[in-house]
Amino acid sequence: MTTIGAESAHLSIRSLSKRYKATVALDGVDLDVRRGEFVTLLGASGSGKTTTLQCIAGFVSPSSGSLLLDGVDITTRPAHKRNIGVVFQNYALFPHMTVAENVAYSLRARRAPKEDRKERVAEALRTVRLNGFEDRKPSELSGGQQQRVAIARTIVFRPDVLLMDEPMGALDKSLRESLQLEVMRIHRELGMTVIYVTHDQEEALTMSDRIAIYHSGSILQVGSADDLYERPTSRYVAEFIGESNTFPGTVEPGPGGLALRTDGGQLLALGDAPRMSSGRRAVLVVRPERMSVTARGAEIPEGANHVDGTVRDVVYIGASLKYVIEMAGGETRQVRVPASAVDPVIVRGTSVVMAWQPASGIVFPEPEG
Amino acid sequence: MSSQMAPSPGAAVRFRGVRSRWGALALPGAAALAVFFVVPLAYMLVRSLSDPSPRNYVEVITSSIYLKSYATTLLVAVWTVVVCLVLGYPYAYVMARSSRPISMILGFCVLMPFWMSILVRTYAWTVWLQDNGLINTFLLRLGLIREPMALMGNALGTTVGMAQVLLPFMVLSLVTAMKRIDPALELASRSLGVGPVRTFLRVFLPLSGPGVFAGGLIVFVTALGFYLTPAILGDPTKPLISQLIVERVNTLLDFGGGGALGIILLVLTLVILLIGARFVDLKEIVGLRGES
Repeated sequence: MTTIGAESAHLSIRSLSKRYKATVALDGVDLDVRRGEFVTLLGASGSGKTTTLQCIAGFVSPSSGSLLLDGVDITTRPAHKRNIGVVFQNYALFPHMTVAENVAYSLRARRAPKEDRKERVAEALRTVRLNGFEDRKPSELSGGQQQRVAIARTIVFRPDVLLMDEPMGALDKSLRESLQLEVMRIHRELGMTVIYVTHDQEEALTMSDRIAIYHSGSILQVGSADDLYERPTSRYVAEFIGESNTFPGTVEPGPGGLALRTDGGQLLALGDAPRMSSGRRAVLVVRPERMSVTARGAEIPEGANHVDGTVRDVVYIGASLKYVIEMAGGETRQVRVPASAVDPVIVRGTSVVMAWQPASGIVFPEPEG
Repeated sequence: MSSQMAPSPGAAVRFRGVRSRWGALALPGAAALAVFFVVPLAYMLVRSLSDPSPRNYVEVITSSIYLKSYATTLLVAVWTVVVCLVLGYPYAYVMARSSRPISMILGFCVLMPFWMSILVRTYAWTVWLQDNGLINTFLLRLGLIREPMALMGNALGTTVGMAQVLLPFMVLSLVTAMKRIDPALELASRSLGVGPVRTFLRVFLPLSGPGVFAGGLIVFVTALGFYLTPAILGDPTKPLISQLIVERVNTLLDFGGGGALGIILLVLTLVILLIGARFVDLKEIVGLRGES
């Protein structure tokens, strides 16, 4: 897990909690964000990511914990004195104002001189490529354009931190992708610290420097896309990010250290010897592309784990091929093979062996009890 | 096959056919309206022109008593709107922005007067407002005043009584408009560095404007025709137009003159509605607002 020193943090969230009568929305969240960093809060709905954002914005006051901006405690500072910009999922443009008036809103509040104001509005609209739309009303714009106005309205006052709450949630897929690139470009150009909330894993992996994975009110892991994919620290993260095959079983001594006896009876070698005692329930997670598929009877690499099965489906996904393989008990697992390495002998119905090196698997203990 | 490919136009036509037969459901109501509203109105119009002659109108228009009464009526209606707005706006704001149970309790309180007779409510006001009523007695005992204040028998009493009756219309119009304002707009304004007071003035207030206009219009127009409240709480020397109509018809048995006064009030009301329609979507008031 990547941790950064609190002294270098631009925004620091310290054991933030929020309780509503019976429910705990946030349960001790800690997160340090560097200046200029793009951090995404990723999780299912109700996992606490939006509550975190609302606490940072000042819309919701936390039950406990604190927020520091450049080392200054802003936990109780009112929203309008935080200099933190927010982009909302439903745009929240002022319907009674034109595009230019919307963008100038924060500048008028700060009593910026009229000339300066005009110039900065034009500049912000240029940044989101909407110059020429100054006199339109929000209702005359498409969803994507409205969201770009909302971004312009927020960046125009140069906030310390830009919060984005599922800003693409209401847009269709192709528009979402082009706006993602736009947001990344704006982030690069302005060097703003961005905290982005989404439940779209692909969006998070594409856009972020680091991702915080939320689960029932707390952060399970923070790291780069690569960290989370290659080095998940919990079964939840391993299964949440990307595709994965799981083999539940019980830990027991094997030929070369600890091994896992699966519920189907196979003995699977474990890579880095985990600190788990014999008899412990655990689950082995292996990524589909770390496995190989060979026809039954072919040679299996030395020391590799192997499980027999039958090909149920072959799915072409661009540059790779996905095999859906049914094991003895009827459960299926997936293996992904680069299109260039496909063995034409293996088709639907072929009896095969899935194999992987022990080091490619990650084992997680199951909760006790 | 092709007939299966295009089932929708036929279905739409059939559906429209069903709907036109539904229209028959409105017939009893429409018939009642025609018999009990349109016919008497036409009769009143004819009578006002023929009993004894169209001179009825000349008499009204040239009489300072009637012109003054129309002016008083308009003024009282304006004051009623102002009082309803001042009392109703904050109430509606809380109702529109609070959680469901609180909003429902407030809505219940607003509607409660609807279930009581206007006559009872208006007489109840006299208990408070008359010279030896609760307010005057209390203030006299405290020594804050030496003589009873005139709280009724004047425009003040009329306005207070009418505002109480009409407040629900104002509140409901306002709540409808306010509930349509996305709460995220206020949050957006706050995040853009604008404090709560200016957020209200620059975002919430302008967006609640349609509700203010709609509520104001419905209260104003309804207030023009009030009779009971001004008769009980008002100034007998400055009667509202409805009181003069009753006097004409009941006391003087001058049906033509009373009819003329009524027709002028009706025309006045329609003119105000037409002017109002330039600012408010009247559909909003009659509840016909489409999904557009």
